[in-house]
Amino acid sequence: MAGRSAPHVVVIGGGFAGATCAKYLRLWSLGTRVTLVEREPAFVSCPLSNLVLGGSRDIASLTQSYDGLARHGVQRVTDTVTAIDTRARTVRLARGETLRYDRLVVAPGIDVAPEEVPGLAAGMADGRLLHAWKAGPQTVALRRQLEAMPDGGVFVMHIPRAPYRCPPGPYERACQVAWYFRQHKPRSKVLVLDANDDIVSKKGLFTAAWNTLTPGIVEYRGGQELLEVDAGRRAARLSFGEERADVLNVIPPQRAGAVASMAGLITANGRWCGVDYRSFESVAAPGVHVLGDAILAAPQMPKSGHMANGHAKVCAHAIAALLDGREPDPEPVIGNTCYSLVNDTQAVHVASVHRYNAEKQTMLVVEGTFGVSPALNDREGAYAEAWARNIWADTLG
Amino acid sequence: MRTGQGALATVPPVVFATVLGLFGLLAAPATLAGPVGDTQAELWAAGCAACHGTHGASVGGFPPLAGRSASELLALMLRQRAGQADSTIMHQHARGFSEAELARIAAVFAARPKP
Repeated sequence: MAGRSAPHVVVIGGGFAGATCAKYLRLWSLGTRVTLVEREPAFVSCPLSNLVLGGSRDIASLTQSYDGLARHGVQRVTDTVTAIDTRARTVRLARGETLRYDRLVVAPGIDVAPEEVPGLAAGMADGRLLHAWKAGPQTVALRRQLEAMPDGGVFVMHIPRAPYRCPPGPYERACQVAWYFRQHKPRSKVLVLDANDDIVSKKGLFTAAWNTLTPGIVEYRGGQELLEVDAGRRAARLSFGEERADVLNVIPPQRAGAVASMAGLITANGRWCGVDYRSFESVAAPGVHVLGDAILAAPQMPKSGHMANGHAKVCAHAIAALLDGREPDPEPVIGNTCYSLVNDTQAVHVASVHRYNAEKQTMLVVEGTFGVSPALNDREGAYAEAWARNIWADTLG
Repeated sequence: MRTGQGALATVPPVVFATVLGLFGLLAAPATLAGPVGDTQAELWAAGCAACHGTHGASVGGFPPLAGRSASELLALMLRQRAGQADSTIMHQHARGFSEAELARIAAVFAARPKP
């Protein structure tokens, strides 16, 4: 190439946000060199992973290759980031390589913060307590704990205060575990202890699922702050007493993945990264963009895979414009669709459309777009599977 | 599962079943389509790709959008937006855009090669 070399964008994190951004950068800015840094060799989908607990899916069916990105000219590096210098514009990798970038995209997802609950970190460290809030080996191990549990046992799940990854996810998990119990361990119970005062997503639909599909199995209690965990006794101490479990599943409090703090991008509550929603550029570091679950979301914007895929496209579009000397779209729109599977065939959705509002400098839900399914239904069970296949292909293919 | 209605009205049930069966196995979206010029509408249309496939080339389960007539796609989205078509979520997504914006989205897909 004559003249100056092609601009280089480094994307850290190969989830729904990072992989989509890398791919769409190459679709929309062919002259840009794109390097995706991801520590895992393959993508494992969190969406649908509760079905592994329910028994209707295995983890292999949720595992996707990164090889499709090469067809778009994305260079992939399987390594861990050890340092980021946003002034020198460099990213250092564990194996010693240093990448120089013109723009950096940070899409680290969430890290769990078990140290915020006494006893939780110790229980997680020796493998007795599983969160299974990142799909993978923990998901499979939690399924094994459920399989090993005797009939008549109790599965206790604790949900942290919002915001956390996938607002409906814990309630979907309760549906899936209850569905497994109903078929194989019908005397067993699911006890849902929620730090939030009430079910935070699709309340009527999840309640209907518990009442009609698995009657008598799920008990829900809101306003349950978790004070301490005793992994040895599988006990959870709450503000209103103690609960013992046969299988204890604490979904820990969460914050932006460690790479975000490495680059000094955390600006809200010591947890999340503030961004300009027109480009997803960090409010703390010019030239650095943050995507997905790690951002401080606008009102009613869930931390979801679909949202992350949408963030990524707005960001890729904005970077393509900026590298080309144009202004980003002043009024981007991002849609969200989240399906929850309530058994092995039926699903429900929540969907909304969010549009940037220049006056309020945030994204707002477009009137008339927010809504949920009228009822549990098989048709959306098939759509949920189709959604997964299409978004995996759109992200990675 | 019901087919041949609402969002699927323009896809005959037989075609839809084939899409479900075949594309799930092939799983390779078209990626050759270049920019169509209306870059803002291209970004809106990219939002549809999460369910309908990159560039509207669905890998199955949802109808493909690429290469379909712009007037047909616009008419369908306007019916969904008005609550006049049988839909599960498309009435919600269609309400995120004005009629003029939906027309520009339809034009982006119409300009794509059929998958």
